[in-house]
Amino acid sequence: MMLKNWWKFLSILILIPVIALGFLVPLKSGVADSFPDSLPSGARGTLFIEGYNSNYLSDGQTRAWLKLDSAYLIQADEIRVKSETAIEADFEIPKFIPSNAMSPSFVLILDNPTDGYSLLPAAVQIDQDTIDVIRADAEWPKVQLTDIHYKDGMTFPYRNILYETIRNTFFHVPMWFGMVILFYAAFICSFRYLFTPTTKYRWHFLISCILLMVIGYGPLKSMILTEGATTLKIIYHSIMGISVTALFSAFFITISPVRSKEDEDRKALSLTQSGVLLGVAGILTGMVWATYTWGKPWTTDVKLNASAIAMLMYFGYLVLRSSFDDKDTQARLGSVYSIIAFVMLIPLLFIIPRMFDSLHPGNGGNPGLGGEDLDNTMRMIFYPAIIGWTLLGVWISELSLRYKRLKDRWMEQWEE
Amino acid sequence: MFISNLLINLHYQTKPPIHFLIRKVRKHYPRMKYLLPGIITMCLPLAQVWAQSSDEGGFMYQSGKIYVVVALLLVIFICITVYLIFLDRKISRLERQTEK
Repeated sequence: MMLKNWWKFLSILILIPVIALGFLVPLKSGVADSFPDSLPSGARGTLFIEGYNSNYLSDGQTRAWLKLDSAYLIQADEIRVKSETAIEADFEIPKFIPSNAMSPSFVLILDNPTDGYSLLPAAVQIDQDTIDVIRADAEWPKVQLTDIHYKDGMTFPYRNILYETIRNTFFHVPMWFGMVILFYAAFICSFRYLFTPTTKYRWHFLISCILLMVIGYGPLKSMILTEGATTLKIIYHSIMGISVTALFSAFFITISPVRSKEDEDRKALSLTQSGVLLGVAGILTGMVWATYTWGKPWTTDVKLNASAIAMLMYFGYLVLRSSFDDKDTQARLGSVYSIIAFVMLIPLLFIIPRMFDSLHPGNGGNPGLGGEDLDNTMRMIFYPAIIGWTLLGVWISELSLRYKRLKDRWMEQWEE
Repeated sequence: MFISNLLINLHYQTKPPIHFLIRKVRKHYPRMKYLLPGIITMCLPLAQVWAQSSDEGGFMYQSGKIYVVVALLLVIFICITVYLIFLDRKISRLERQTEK
């Protein structure tokens, strides 16, 4: 039983450290807020700084800077520590600011040996009466950002507004990854039901898929795509994407001989059901998270509505199946619908959200899960989390598959 | 008087009286099974109200919003549990059918 069901134990073994580390690894320290929002130029200004997860009191060597850009910095000449999370910093602000704006905004940077560095973007605006860039440059105190510290050990990045909810990356996001993987498996099973393919060409499909990827994303890409050819780029990438996906799916469809057509259909149904379960969990967790970060559970974000449409599509699949009594009709219509639904799912979840600005990180461009929202420490937990939650979904669908097999076998006996 | 009636009822009926009530409701109002989903659907707008009432500095915002993460994990747990309950009920129904 252990050997046969190793992947079920694997899912538990992965999920336990994912949940434990997801809760226990501390956040980096950061700057939560600063007051006031604007300071006058040519005077001495005091900034009240509120830290998060910081150790200002135990570490007496905190330094503070206001930064316009990498060349122009003001260092705080006096810092009064009030508590572990509160300090006051005095800045001697020059008369003229080297910027063409009347009130340019400055980034606040804090650094101490225990917490490492932390920053607050657009912390304060400095109002100047007249703009004189040349004089400002001449009179500016030459300050360098030196001896910056980095916090040791395993930490998650600190993000304003998000705070500790950055840990939701291991619980909300893998729901969607798992859902897409389960729907893809259901799509493969539907194909296997409809066409009952032979396994003759499976290695041809895999090898041609790998060859196409190596050639198409390697030398051919740099030969065809030159700088600025946007339309060509879009056409090239969509053709490449479709053909690679088609070959890859063809490999999975023909990977093993179809022993029982009915069983493939039962697999497709069970996988879709647990995929819908993960999708519903994804939407609900997203709503809870959005309530405390974006202010309301449902915003007009493109990604939210696209995923809602995707969920409705798969609800439609379940309704369509249940509206026929005949098992054969159910299976045929269901598998055709499942294939079309998965083909529709890809633009809904992966293409449309990238074309618009979104509250989700990494949208309105190429996401690629980068930047400060997912650093290397989080990746170490995030990728196992995807595998763990997906295996849990597969486990649930396996239970429901076994139930369906028993039920169908019993129904056959009963009819005899 | 009341207690004695109850005792007699318990003596003669193997199933508690509430069972007959449920059966009667199921027989005369077959759509009653949509009641619970209906109530849940009608409660959905409450989520908006709840979101508006939970202002900054409330319980969920304490300790760097860590309770949001707890709530998320609870939601996932509840979803999976509800699915398992439905599956469990289907399996018991099949068991009852095969026993007959």
